[in-house]
Amino acid sequence: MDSLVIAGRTLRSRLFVGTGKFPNPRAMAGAIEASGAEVVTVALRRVDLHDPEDSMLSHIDFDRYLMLPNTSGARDAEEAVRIATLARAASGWDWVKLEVTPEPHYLLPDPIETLEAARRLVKLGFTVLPYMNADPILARHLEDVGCAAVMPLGAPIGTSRGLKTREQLSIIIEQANVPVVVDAGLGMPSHAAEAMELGADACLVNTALAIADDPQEMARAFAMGVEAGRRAWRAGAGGESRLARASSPLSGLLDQG
Amino acid sequence: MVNGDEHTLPLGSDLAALLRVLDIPPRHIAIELNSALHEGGLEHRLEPGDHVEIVRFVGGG
Repeated sequence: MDSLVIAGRTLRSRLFVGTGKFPNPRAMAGAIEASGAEVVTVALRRVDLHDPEDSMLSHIDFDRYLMLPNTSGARDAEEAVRIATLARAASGWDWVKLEVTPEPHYLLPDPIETLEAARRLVKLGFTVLPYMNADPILARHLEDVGCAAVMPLGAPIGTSRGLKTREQLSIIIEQANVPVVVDAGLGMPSHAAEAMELGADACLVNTALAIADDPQEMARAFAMGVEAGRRAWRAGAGGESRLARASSPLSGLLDQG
Repeated sequence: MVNGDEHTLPLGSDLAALLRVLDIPPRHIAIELNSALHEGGLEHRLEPGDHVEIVRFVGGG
């Protein structure tokens, strides 16, 4: 596959993966390995004083991946900046997946607070990849304040419903001057392939891997879906037609006198 | 107060001692002291009544 460049960083894999909700650390590590992903997301939380070691992430070699902390849990710009700042202090990593989701049922991103947080985080020197609704105008605004990529949703987080925002996504892809990473709602490899066929630059998946019976096999399938979609997009599809277009010659048929 | 729970330490304890008492490995964590990011070292001495928040990475999407 051709490589992807975000903020000067060259990535060979166009599949990003999350680390939430896996049944155990081994399943998570196996899935990440099988996905071939180079970008891996994590969240930041209070240390649980009753379980201070937290085994979940202990199976990931942070140095092997481009770690992308998210600001999940943030309900406004101020909280997002606070979380991002803590994440950078904890790790030295300055990439952040900006996520501002004040609404608990659909976890839809707040566009106004996201834009404000993006503006502030860029000024603080972060490489900002904002999770956003599939709104082309918002994508433009986020690009204008200096975001390194945009991450529009296919469907709400964890719903596995696929590209419900397909029309809007294709406008974002058509107009964006930064990479477009389709994030959230991808439930099957075909959803990821569809996003890539539309011309998305990458996909991020977490829940679909974490809740599969075999996360490792699902990760492999997603990697293939992303690659298939990307190759198809590069190959250039010949377009649809309402009427049949014969693929076999229409001359030389046997019953023609 | 540490992460919302009250803890009692010997007078003059520093952040490193707090982490030891709580059994928190000091790698990939960040500390907020009285609502501000603590950018100094772990030898910072705690005062009675300090509010400490200790965060670290967990699985997330």
